[in-house]
Amino acid sequence: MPSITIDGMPVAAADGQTVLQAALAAGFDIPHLCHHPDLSPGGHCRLCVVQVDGGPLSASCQLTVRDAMSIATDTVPVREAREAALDLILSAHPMTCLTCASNHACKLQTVAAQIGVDEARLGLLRPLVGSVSKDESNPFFIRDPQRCVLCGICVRTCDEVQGRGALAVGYSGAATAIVAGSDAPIAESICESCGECVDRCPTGALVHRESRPPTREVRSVCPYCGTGCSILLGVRGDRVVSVRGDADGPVNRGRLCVKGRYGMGFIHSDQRLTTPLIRRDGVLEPATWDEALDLVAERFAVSRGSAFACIGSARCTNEEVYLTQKFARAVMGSNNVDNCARLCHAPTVAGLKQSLGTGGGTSPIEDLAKAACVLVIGSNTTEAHPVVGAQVRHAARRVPLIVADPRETDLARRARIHLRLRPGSDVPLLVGMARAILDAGLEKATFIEERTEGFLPFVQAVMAMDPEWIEETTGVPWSDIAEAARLYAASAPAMIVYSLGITEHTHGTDNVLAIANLALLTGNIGRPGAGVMPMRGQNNVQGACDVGCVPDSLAGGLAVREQAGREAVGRRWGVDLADTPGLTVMEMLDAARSGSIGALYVTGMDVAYSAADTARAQEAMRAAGFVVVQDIFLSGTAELADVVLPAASFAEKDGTFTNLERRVQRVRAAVPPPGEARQDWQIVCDIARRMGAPGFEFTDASQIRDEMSEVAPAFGGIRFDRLEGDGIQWPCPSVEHPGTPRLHVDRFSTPNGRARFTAPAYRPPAEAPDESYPLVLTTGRSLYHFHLAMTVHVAGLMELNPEELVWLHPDDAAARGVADGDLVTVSSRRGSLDLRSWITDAVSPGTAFMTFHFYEAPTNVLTQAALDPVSKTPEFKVTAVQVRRAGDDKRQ
Amino acid sequence: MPALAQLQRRHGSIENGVIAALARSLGLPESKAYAAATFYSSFALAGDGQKVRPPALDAALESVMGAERAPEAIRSWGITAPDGRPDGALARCGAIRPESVDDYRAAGGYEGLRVALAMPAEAVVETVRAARLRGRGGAGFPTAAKWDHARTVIAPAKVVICNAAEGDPGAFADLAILRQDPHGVLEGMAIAAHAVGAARGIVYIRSEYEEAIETVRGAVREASDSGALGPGFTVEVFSGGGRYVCGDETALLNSMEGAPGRPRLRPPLPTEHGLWGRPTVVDNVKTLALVPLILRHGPEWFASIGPAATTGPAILAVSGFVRRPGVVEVPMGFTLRQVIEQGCGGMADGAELKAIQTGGPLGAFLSADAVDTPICFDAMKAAGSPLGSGGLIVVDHRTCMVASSRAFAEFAAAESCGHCAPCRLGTRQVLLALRNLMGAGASGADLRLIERMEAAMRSSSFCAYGRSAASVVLSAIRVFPDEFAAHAVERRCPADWCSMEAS
Ligand SMILES: Cc1cc2nc3c(=O)[nH]c(=O)nc-3n(C[C@H](O)[C@H](O)[C@H](O)COP(=O)(O)O)c2cc1C
Ligand code: SF4
Ligand code: SF4
Ligand code: SF4
Ligand code: SF4
Ligand code: FES
Repeated sequence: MPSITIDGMPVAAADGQTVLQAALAAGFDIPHLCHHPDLSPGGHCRLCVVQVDGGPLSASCQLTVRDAMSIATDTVPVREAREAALDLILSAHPMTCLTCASNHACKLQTVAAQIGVDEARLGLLRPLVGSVSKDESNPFFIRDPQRCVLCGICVRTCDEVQGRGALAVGYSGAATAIVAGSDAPIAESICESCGECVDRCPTGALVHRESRPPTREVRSVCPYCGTGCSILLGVRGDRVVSVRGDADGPVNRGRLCVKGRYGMGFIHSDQRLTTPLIRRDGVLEPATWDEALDLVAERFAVSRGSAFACIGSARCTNEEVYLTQKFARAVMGSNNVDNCARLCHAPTVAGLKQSLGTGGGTSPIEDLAKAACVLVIGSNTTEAHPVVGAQVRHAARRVPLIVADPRETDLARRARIHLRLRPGSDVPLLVGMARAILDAGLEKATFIEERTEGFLPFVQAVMAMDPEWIEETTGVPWSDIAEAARLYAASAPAMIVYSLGITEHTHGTDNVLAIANLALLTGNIGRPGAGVMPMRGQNNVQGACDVGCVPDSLAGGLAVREQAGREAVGRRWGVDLADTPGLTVMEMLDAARSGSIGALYVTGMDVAYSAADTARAQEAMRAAGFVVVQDIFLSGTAELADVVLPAASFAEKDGTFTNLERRVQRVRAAVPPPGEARQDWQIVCDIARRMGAPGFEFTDASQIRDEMSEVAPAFGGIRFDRLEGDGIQWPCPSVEHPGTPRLHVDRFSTPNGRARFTAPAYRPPAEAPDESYPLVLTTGRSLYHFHLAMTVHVAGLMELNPEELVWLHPDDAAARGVADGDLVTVSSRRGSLDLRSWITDAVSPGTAFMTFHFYEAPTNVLTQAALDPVSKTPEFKVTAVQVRRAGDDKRQ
Repeated sequence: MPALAQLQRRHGSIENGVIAALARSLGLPESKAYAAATFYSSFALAGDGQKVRPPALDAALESVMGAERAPEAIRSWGITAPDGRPDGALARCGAIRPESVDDYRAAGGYEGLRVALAMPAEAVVETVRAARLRGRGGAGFPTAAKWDHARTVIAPAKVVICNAAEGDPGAFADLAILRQDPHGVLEGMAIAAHAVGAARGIVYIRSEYEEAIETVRGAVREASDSGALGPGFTVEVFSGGGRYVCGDETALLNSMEGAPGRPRLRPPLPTEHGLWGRPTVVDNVKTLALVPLILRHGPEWFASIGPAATTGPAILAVSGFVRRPGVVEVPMGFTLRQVIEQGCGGMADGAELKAIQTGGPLGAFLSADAVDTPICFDAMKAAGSPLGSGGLIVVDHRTCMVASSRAFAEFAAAESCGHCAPCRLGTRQVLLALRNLMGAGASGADLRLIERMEAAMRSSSFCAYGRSAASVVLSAIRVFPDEFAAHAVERRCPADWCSMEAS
C-alpha cells in the first residue's frame, strides 16, 4: 500500500487510487468539478491541480498515487492556477444563481466558495456565456447549455453507468458543447430518460423538472419491476416530491430507470380511489367502510370452499399477500388462490423446481459483473428490467453477449451473436446449442457425473433432433447456433438471463427446462458469475409465489399435498387445510364462466385486461356470483366489480418486497393513504374479523412477518429488524443465518441433492399462422410503461410513449399498402383493434409486435387462452393475426 | 472517419440526417458520430452555420507575416556521406521519380533496411541509440528510448505510425519529403517495425495533402509489389481529418479510431497502449527519413554531425521575409544566420530582420539578436524558443508584433480541442485581449490578463497544446515590450498595421 504525504501529513492510499481519491478519503477537500466517484476521470476542469514533489502542477483526479509522493494542495502556484481556471469557467457562466434550479446544490458554487472569487479580477475577463437556448423537450428534465461547464460528467454517466451513449462532446474550441444525437432536442435521441446524468450534473445545466427539495427522505423499494431498486422517497408535508436512487441499494447502487425515478406521479393522482364503492342499481357508488365490509363478509360467508376464488397481488407486500392466501385457505377453506405469476413466470417456478429443486433465480444480479459470457434469451432486459439491462450492457463491453430474440432489441444490437429465432422455436434452439456443445465435447463431464442425473436420456433425446431440422424450425443458421454454443460453453463462468419470451408459451415449462439443461451441461450453476436468472416482472411477483399465493403450495414452497408440512401450518393457524391444489387464474376464470364461482376476490390485479383473451376474461367476471376488487385505481377490472375497496399504494405502507434474486427488502410508509384508503393487510383483517375468524388480530405488518417466519422454514430468520441493510436473500432458516445469495453451491435442493436433466420435447406453438391470419404477433413491454394502471397516470411517461403501436416489417407493410403511422386494423381469431403502425426492421418479416399498456388498445383482446399444460400459463407470445389498413375490406 | 470523409467527398457537406444513418451502419451512437464529424475542420456541416469552424489560419499568418509555404524549393548542403559524396534525408529530392522503387534503390535506397534486417531487433535499437537520434516531430525525444519501450512490451500486434499530420502554419518539410522521396520514409518505417516487432505500418497524412497521399500510396504499392519492405510488414495510408491537435500522437490515435481527435491521458503511453490498445510507435516523417542513413552509414557517422546534444541533419522549413523560402537541410549546429543567409539568399529586398518565429504555434519569437543561435533542441530552448518541428518564420521590421501575435492567437483558439477549461477558454480570452489591443480600447489590463491566462494554461492544461498555446504571444510581449506598450498605453501601432480604431 503506497503511503504519501499531503500537505506534510502522512496519508495511507490504496493501490491504483488517484491522489484526489486518496485525499478525499483522508478528509482533504481538494476543489473539483469534473470528478465523480462513479466515473472514470475526465480532467476537464483543472481545478483539482496540486503540486507534486515541489515541482510542476498536476490534476489530482488523474494522478495515480506512487509511494512516497509528496503532495501540496495549497501553494501559491496551485492557488493561482485554480483561481485562473475558476475565473475562466465563471466567465462562461451566467451569474444568475438565485433563479437557477440548482441554487444551493451547485458544485460550481461550492468550488467558487472554496477557491474564492475576486470581482475585480474576474471583471477583466470577457463574458463568454453562450447563446444556445434551453432544451425542454424531455418531460422530466431540462437542459440548459448556458449553465453547462463542460465537465463531461453527463457524457461519462451515459457511457459508463447507463451504457447508452446518448451524449457526446461535440464541436471544438469555444464552440464545444454537449450534444445529443445530431445536436437535436434530447427527446429525439436514443436517451432513455433514466435521469442518471441529471442526478450527477454538478450545475444547473441538467435539472429535474420537479426538483423541490424534500424535508425528509424515506428508504423504500421501487414499485415497478422485479429488479427491486432501492429508492429514497423525498417527502414534503404529506406529499412525495422527489425520488433518488439509493447509493447503498444492493441491486442498483444508486441507479434508477425512468419509471423508478420519474414514475411516482401516480401516488398523488386525483384518480386514486378514496372511498369504498358498492354497485347499486348497476352503478358503482361511494359507500362507507362499514357498509362495504358488511356486504363483503355476508356474501363471502355463503361462498366458502371451492365456490370461492381469490387472486392475490404481486404488487402488494409479502405480508399482505401472505395474509390474503391465509384468508382464502383458513377462513374460506379454499385453495383457489393464485397471482399474476400465472400469466408470466409460473413456468419458471415449475421448471426450475423440477430440474434444480428451487423455483427461483440462482444468483445475485451483481454476478453479471463476474460472468465471462452472458446469454440473454427471450428478455428485452433494457426495457423490462432497465437497471439489470444497463448491467448487461456493461457486461457486453467486457465479455461476449449472445442474444436470442426474434426482435432486434437494444441488447441484440450490442450482441456478439444475435440468434433471430422464429417465435416459439426456443426449445429447438436450446436443444441445438446443447447438441453443438456435445458435438464439440465442451460439456463439463465431472459436474455432470457428480451433481446431476438423467444425462443419458437427455443426450439421446438431443441427438434425435438433427441440425437441418433445427435450422429449419428456428430459422437460424446452424453455424450461428454452433458458434453461440461454443462461446457459451467455452467461456466459464457464463450466465443466462431470460424472461417472458421463454415462459409465455404453451411450452413455457419445456423452455425453462431446456435452459436449465444447458446450464447443467456446462456446469454453470452454483458458482460466482454463473447461473440462471429469470427476470421476474412485477415488483413482488417472486414474493407472491414464495408466500404461498398459489393453488398448490403454502408459504416457503411447502406443497399442499405434503401432509406433514400442511398439518404444521394448519396447527399454527388453528384449522384443517384442504389437501388438493386449487384453481389457477385461467382456470378460475373458466370456472366463473361456467357459474361455479360464488365469490371472486381480486386484490391489485387488472385481471380482466392482463389475462389472455380479454373478451373471455370479462365474461368470466360478469358470470361470477359476487366480485370484490381491491385496488388503488378504478381499473378495468374494478369497473366490473360489485364492491370496490380502496387500497394504499406502496408509498403508504410498511412491509417487504422480494426481488428477482430472492432478496427480501423493506418497504416503508412515507405518506398517509389518500382519503379513506387502507393498507391491503388491514382490509383483509377487517373482512376476516367481520366474518368472526381468529388469527387476524394484527396491528402491525411486522407481526405478520413474524408469523410467516414461524410458518415457513425458508423465512425463519427474516424479520423486520434484520432488513435494515441490504435485505436478505432466502432461504434464511434462522436469525443467525446470513441468507443465500447463490443457490445450489454444494448441493441442489432436490430431495437427493442432484439436479435433473430433462429429455426435451418439442411442441409447436398452439396457433400457427395461416392464410387468413398470416402474421405472428408477439407482445412485450415498453421502457416507459408498466402494465396498465400506474404509468398511464404519469403524464411524462405518457408523453414519451403516448399510444400503442403495432410494429411491422417494411416488407409486410408494403405488401399491405401500409405506410408508417397509418391507422391499421389488427385482428386475430378472437378480436380486433384499430391502432397506428410503426414500420421497422427491428421485427422480422412475417412477425408483428405490440406492447400491452393502453386501455384504448387492449392488446389481450387478440391473444388466446391456450395454456402451458404444466404451469397453466397462456401463450401471450404467439398469436396469429391479420393486419389491414383500417377501413379496407377484410378479404382484401 | 474514413466513412465520414468518403461521405463528404460524395455530398460536399454532411447533412444531419446522414450522420444518423452512418452511425447506425457503423454501430455507433449518433451522438458519437456527430461529435467526430463536428470536430474535424474538413467536414463542413450543413445548416446551423454558426458552429462551422473557420479553416486553418495559414491565410491570416500569410497576410501579416508573409509566411508562404514553399515545399518545392529544396536545398541540402553541408552533409557528406563517409565516401565524401553529399547526402542527407533530402539528397534525393528532385533527382529521382518519387514513387519509383528502382530509382530509390539506384540511389542507395533500402540499403539501410537490408543492414537492419540482418541484425537482431535489439541491435537495431542500439544502433539508433548510438546515433543519438532525437525525434524531429517537435519534442526531440530520443527515438531509441521510445522504440525500446515498444520493443519490450509483450503483445502480439504492434503498430508503427508515421506522423505526417504537419499542422503547423509555416511547416512544410514533411510535405516536401512525402511528395519527393516517400521511399525514404517507408524504409524508416520498415526498420522501426523490425526494431519493435510490428507487422503493421500506417502513414497518417493530413487530408489537405491530397497529392502527397497519392504519391505515398503509389510508393507503398511499388514497395510492396517488389517486396522492398521486407517480410511480414505492410503499410497503409490514412488520410487524417486535418486538425492541428491531431498531430499530437494520442489525439492522432483517437482520430484514427473514429473519435474526435482530442488528446488522451498519459500514461499509458502509446508504446504500451496505442491504436486500439496495441503498442504503437509514432514517429515523425523527418525522423523516419533519417533512420535509413543511420543504418547505412553507421551511428558514428550520424553522431559526428552537429553538437553532442542534437546530432544529425536538421531539416527546416523556412518562410517569411527571406529571398528564397523553402526546405533546407543542414547539419545540426549551424546557426540561424547561416540558414537565412546561405540557405535562403538572405533577407528579402527591403526587409530587415526583426524576429524569427520557431517551434510553430506552440513555439515563440526570437529577437534578431539571437540570430547566431545554433540549431539544436537545447540551445534554442535556452535562447527562448524551441526548435519544434523545424519551421522558421522570418519576420521583418515592418511587421507588427501585436498583429502577428493575434494571428497566432486566432489559430490557438480555433485549434483548441475544447477538452479542458484553461485552454478552451484561455485561448479565447487571450485572443479577445489581443483584438482589443489592436483597437481603440487597448489597455494595460489586457497585457496583464494575457500573462495571467498564459501562466494558468502553462501550468494546468490537459495536454501539451494548451500548455504552450499562448507561448508565442507571451514571447512577443517579452521580446517586444515597447511595441506592446505603444498599443496599450499610447493606443499607437508603431508598424502602422493596426487600425487602433473602435471596432
Ligand atoms: C499539439 C501537438 C501537435 C503535434 N503535431 C505534430 C505533427 O504535426 N507532426 C509530428 O510529427 N508530431 C507532432 N506532434 C508531436 C507528436 O505528439 C509526437 O511527439 C511525434 O509525432 C513523435 O515523433 P518524433 O519522436 O519522431 O518526433 C505534436 C504534438 C502536439 C502536442
Ligand atoms: S450538462 Fe452538466 S454534467 Fe453535462 S457537461 Fe454540462 S455541466 Fe457537466
Ligand atoms: S437520461 Fe439516461 S439515457 Fe438519457 S442522456 Fe442521461 S444518462 Fe443517458
Ligand atoms: S429497474 Fe425496475 S425496480 Fe429499478 S427503477 Fe426501474 S422499474 Fe424500478
Ligand atoms: S490543452 Fe485541453 S483543450 Fe487544449 S488541446 Fe489540450 S486537451 Fe484540448
Ligand atoms: S476534477 Fe480534476 S480536472 Fe476536474
